[in-house]
Amino acid sequence: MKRGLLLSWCLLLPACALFQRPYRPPHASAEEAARVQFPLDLPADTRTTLPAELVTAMQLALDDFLPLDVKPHKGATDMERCLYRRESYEVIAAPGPEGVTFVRVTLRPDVCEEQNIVMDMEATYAVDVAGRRILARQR
Amino acid sequence: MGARMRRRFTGAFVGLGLAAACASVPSGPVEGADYGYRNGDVWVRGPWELITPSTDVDEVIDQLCPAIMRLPRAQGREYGQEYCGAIYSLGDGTYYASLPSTLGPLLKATPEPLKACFAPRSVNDPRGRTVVLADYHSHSWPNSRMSSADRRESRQRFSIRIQFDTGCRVMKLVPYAGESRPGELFERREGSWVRIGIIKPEHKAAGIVTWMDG
Repeated sequence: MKRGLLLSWCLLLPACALFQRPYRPPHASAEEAARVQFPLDLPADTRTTLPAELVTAMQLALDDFLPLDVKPHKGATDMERCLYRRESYEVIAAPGPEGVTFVRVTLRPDVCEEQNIVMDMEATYAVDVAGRRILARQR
Repeated sequence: MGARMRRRFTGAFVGLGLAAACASVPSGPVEGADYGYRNGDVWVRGPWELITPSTDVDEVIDQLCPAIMRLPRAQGREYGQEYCGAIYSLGDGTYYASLPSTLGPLLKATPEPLKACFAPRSVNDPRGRTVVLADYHSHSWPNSRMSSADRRESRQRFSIRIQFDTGCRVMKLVPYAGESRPGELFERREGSWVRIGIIKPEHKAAGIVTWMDG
């Protein structure tokens, strides 16, 4: 009986992988949220407006280049920790033909390279926004 | 000839073939002896014995790609290894190539293995003080051009940057960093440099190329 139960657990548990929820950002506690003060409107001189289609293309590229759940490996140097941070990069996009958006994720200068200049710290993607997929990564 | 004898001959032939194949792939430069860190800065050793020095720097450049492409994983595509080195002189009008370095950041947790190397800061040559003219680096892919990141003005340490891919398409960037004249991008074609683009002064920070027609 016990062996049968164990066997069914072994068969059923891997199936849980199929029911993973898509990533959602965590929300702060109600107490922390209550402390946030929103402006009356977003300031005209400092606001940035981007079409969500473009942001989606950028998001897909960034999720491929540096997934949000990536943590620096054990023993990473300061520079490597810096390279693991999304904030160390900038994202550039340009429309391409037939619904393709080209997106480049590239290391910001003078952020991580205090001592050594690193070559080729970037990736350029062709993104199919409607299909929510990466078409190609440039080599 | 008996079946056993034939098998022995075949075995010996395969063995010799494998030995020859292994012998044709150099083991590559060694950290500590050929390159390393000094106070955090990357140094490389020179001169590289495989590259014949010349008073014509282009003769040195032309030898680099074939030599690098024989090193381990230099053509390994997604599992490849980028190599970074330098071209320098001792102030006597002769140009030398340094050995290449494999040092670079390791981002083990990222989904795509990273292929990046550190541009060396200095060359160690026991004969004297070195003046670096150019850095060079390889890509482990065919048809792979100098990246926009590598064309940015803030990443230029020397007067020239050389990059080549596994097909030995060689590119040369003359950044003219800090100068008002535009940067220039060349490709080596049949023994001469063809200017394929310029980087306007206002585009130097981002490394944006204005490509030549044709």
